[in-house]
Amino acid sequence: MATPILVGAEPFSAAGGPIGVVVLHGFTGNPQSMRPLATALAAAGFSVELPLLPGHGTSVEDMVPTRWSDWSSVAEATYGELAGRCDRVIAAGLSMGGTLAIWLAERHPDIAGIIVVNPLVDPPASSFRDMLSGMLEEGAVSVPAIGSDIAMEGVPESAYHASPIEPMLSMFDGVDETAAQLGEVRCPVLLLSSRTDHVVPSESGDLLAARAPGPVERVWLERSFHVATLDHDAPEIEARAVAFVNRVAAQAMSETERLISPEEVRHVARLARLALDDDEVGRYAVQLSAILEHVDAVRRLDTADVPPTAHPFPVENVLRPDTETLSLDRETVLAQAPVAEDDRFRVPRIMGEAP
Amino acid sequence: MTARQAPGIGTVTGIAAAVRSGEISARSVLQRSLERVADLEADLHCFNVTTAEKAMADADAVDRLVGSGLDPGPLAGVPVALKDNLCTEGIPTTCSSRILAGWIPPYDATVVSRLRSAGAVPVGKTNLDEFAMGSSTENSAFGPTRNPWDTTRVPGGSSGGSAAAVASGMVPLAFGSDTGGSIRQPASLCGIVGVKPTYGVVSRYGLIAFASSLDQIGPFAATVADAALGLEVVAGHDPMDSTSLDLPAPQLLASLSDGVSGTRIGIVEDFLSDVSPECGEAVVAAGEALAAAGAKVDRVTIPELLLGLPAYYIIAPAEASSNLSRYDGVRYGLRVDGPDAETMNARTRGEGFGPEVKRRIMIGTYALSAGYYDAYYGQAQKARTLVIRAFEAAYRNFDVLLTPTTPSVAFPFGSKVDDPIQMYMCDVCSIPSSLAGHPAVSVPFALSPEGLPVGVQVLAPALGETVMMRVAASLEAAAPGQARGPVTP
Repeated sequence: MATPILVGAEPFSAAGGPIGVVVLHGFTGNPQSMRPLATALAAAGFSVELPLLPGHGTSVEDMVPTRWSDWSSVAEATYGELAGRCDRVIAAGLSMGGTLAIWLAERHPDIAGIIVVNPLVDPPASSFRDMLSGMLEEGAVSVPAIGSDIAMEGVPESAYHASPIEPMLSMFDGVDETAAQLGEVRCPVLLLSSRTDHVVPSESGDLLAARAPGPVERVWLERSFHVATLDHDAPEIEARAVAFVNRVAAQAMSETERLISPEEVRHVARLARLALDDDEVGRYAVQLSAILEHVDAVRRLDTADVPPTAHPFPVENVLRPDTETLSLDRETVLAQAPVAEDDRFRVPRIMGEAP
Repeated sequence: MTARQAPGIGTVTGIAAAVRSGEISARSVLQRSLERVADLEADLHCFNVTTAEKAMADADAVDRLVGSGLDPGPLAGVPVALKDNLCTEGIPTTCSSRILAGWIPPYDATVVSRLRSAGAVPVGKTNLDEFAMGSSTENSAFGPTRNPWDTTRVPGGSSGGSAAAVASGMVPLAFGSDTGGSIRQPASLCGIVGVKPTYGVVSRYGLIAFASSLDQIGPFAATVADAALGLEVVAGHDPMDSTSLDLPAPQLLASLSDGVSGTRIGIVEDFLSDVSPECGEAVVAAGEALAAAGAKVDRVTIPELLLGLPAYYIIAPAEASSNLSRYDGVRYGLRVDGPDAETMNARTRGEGFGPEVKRRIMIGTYALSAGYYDAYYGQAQKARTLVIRAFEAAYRNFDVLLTPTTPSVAFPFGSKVDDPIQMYMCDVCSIPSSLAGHPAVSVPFALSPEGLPVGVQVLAPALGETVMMRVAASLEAAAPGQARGPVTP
């Protein structure tokens, strides 16, 4: 008979809009550590699923028989379930939850993006694993854990106080597998790294940033330790996560539903005399489409009998008495010109070559 | 952490009275202002440039006038900060854009010359969202301004530098420009008073244009009386601006403390549900305070006002795309060379403008381009008419209207900058008055649970500044003192 679930460790689920987010907690942790982020994402209107991973959230004894494959299959199933009812899905995770989010991104090229907070990516040294294996052979079941690595005082993480050795070694195998496939992470990544982390060294984030071919936006959290989702920077993480999900979902959506094509962007940029690079063309195609969608209420307004207003008050042509006044000093004005010559502005040729 | 009730520079009315009477020197006031700038500027980044030497000379000139028994004017010795889109002769004016970096205007804006003539002492040019496009100052090419109440948060924008300079007590008076909320929104986020006057009351001559049918210059100050005095000084007809109204400057101070007995005040319900609870609650509490002071307060729904935001985000970019065509690398500012003029123009503009300015030029150009003009720009102009008609109907029953100034208190850096629509939503309550050309003022009225200021907006019909400022003064009297600056970060 399983131990009852710890208070606060219950899974979280919110039925929201067509954008879904899988939120994953860390090794020996439980949904408590991710509940504020999940709640913020739900408040922003997204569909959110934060599962309780097998063996977690009750007692450490329940965790001893569980393995990476148990946790990753729950992550996979949750992703599949959200993908079935949402247009776009994003995965978010803390620590091992971050590893699982990366693992999902490697397996699902159509994932819209991932948000990872202090993920474990860099596999631990073999000497450390050998030491753990040695302890296991000597009969040890678990080692003391570094839970509640939180800078803010008085905020506990309801994680287990011990880390079971066999599940930990199994997690490291999962990290090996995930690290080897980083080249498959092609979606946008929001990587949030605590400057001070006593659990996962920053090399893990470095490795992800270096190897993932997709765009990685790395944000340093100056005031939080490992469990940053419960720490001083939690509001920033939540705000950035919501903005990231909105952005990547719009980007992914636009590939099929955009109103303005890159060709149109180039045409408008030419009319506006703006040199844009390819990145800008892609970004503006998405953003202009979103803005036009937003102003659609105006386009569809029934205005049959409404006259247009160009100016708040009637504007009349204003004439002044035809008397001579001083104009600006020519030298002063030309002194501000990028290039002047013979009392004139100098410009490159305006007409094309004669045929 | 914010140290409350930190010493500021004093009030505009107090400084001017003391300098005019010879009680204190303009130089000593300026020195205090410059010291405070020196102490706080590294934390806040309010200014693109400070002009201490020129200000010393100006202050000394004011003191000499007083010494000879002459009156330097109603703003004698008042240090003032100017948004860096107001032209200042001989002082760089950049609009916080790379395309104008280093440009030195050959003339003063009318507002600047009027301030000087009134004895004010300009101390510097304040940071803004590039070309006044934004609600956070994060779009400045020279780095953001930070909110003195909490330096991890934005001061609002686009006139964020002016608002933060007043809120932190560096200067008692500053000027900004407001196209869709760029004075009122930062005033609200920084806990000070910000006024957008009726279109045409203040000359736009020398204000670098963003959207000409909407742009209007106005004051920031810690108190309603100070803002009223600042507006009186700069207002009034100017032949250099063809849209300047041929009317004398409004006289606001004379009736400022006459109270609101019998004034008809409408709380606009349409904005209350979509703003954060503290912003909505502040409006309701403001209504109660005004009712207690004798006003007739009622609720009103004006659903057409919600058309304002989408109409504005077609009209303002359309006008901007036309106004900003002047930055072509020929007469001033940046030039990036090319083999022919068109390539030079495009490269200059591609490198000189930041992402938000380019985004708005693109929207505006698209909305004005063949095939889309009627669907977007034409429709937006008609929506503008509907907003104006709805206001007209409401003002048959009310003297002023109350709304939140902003949908939320100051937000953290980075939280909206990648999402244009979220950023544009900051202006949802302030835009309707802009489209109608009406005046509006934001008054600090409450503190949020996290200790950030919450403003309430008072709207009035065209040329209704007198009653609007009277209501603002009543709100100020009823507001808890800690809801406004100056603050020390």
